[in-house]
Amino acid sequence: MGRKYKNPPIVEVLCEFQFVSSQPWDFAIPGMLYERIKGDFPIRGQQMAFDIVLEPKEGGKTEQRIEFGSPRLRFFNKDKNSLVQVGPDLLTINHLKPYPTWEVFKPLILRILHEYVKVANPKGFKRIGLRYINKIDFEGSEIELSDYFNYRPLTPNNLPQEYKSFQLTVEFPYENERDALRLTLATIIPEKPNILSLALDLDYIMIKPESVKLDEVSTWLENAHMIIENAFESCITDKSRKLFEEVK
Amino acid sequence: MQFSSQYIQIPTNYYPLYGSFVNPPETSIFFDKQNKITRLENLYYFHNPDEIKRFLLTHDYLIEHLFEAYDQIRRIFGENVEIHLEYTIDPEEDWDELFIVIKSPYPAEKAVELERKLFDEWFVHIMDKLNNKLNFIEEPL
Repeated sequence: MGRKYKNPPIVEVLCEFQFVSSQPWDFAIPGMLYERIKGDFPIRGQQMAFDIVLEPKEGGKTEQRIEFGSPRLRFFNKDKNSLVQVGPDLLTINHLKPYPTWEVFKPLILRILHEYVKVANPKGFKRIGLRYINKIDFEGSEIELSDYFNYRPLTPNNLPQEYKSFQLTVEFPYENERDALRLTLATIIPEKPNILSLALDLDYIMIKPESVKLDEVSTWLENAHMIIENAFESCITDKSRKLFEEVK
Repeated sequence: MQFSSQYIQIPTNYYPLYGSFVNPPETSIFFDKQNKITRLENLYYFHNPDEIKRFLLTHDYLIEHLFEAYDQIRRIFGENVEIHLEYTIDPEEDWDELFIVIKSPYPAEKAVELERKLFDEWFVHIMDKLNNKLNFIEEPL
């Protein structure tokens, strides 16, 4: 059991499954899944997938073009703080703030996955990810990072020791490189003026396709959660714990 | 070691060392919004970037309309235009709004014609979804 906080920085927790399919993607699958989970996730939405494509043109110029892809369907709960996303060979279960607890979220993941497997009959997992996204706001124009984070950029002494934006990502291998923890600390867009916002993003992923079987996912999730929890505590200092109001 | 507030890029999709995909889908609601705002900065000239980004975070329903707007403007005005975004606020009236400013090289008559075409073929169909928070104008380049 990890530490508890009265004011936890978690803004989103999500579990993402990418599947190795046993057949071509059937566009009826999202509707069939919705029928099974609409009691808890009755509000339907759609997310357009698009990307900005840079195309080389004559004279060394490039043209920017927006390319639209297949939409991803989203099913929200009544409070719109929890949702299920379904796309071709993709299932994600997200929980936004306030995050309940792992003891509540894990059974939800397993239940939705169980329903998906029933309707889509995938061959296995291509990728699994459990991700905890934390947003930490600081009032004012500057902070001393080392006061709050043990995980932070290290820059040579002859460079300015003050910086405006950064993104620090390290991927740590686990389980003989079957899994990886992708750990990111980065500046993000703040919601209010005179606020510094940082994201501490902990993403534990299974990267070797089909190395975890469908019936092994509960154990994998438990291990992933434990690693994320330990990594989070290792990244922050007691001053952060004070900010998050640790409950003892 | 310190860092100060002035700016601030967001974490885009980190390029993974592990994993087989080149362009993974962003399934986080939180980062999806932040990433899209950053992508918009590749399409538009942001006049007051801090204010525009904050405004888009709190009025996130505008984000997808802005992607569509870029496509529609290029379709109607062609490639020889600059597309700017400007955040305008009147605290006394408790009013704020985002303006798409299309800077075009065309003579006034032609520019007005294209502006009207953009309104008729795109803006009129979405304006009821914008809560008076997004508008557009044309200006000479």
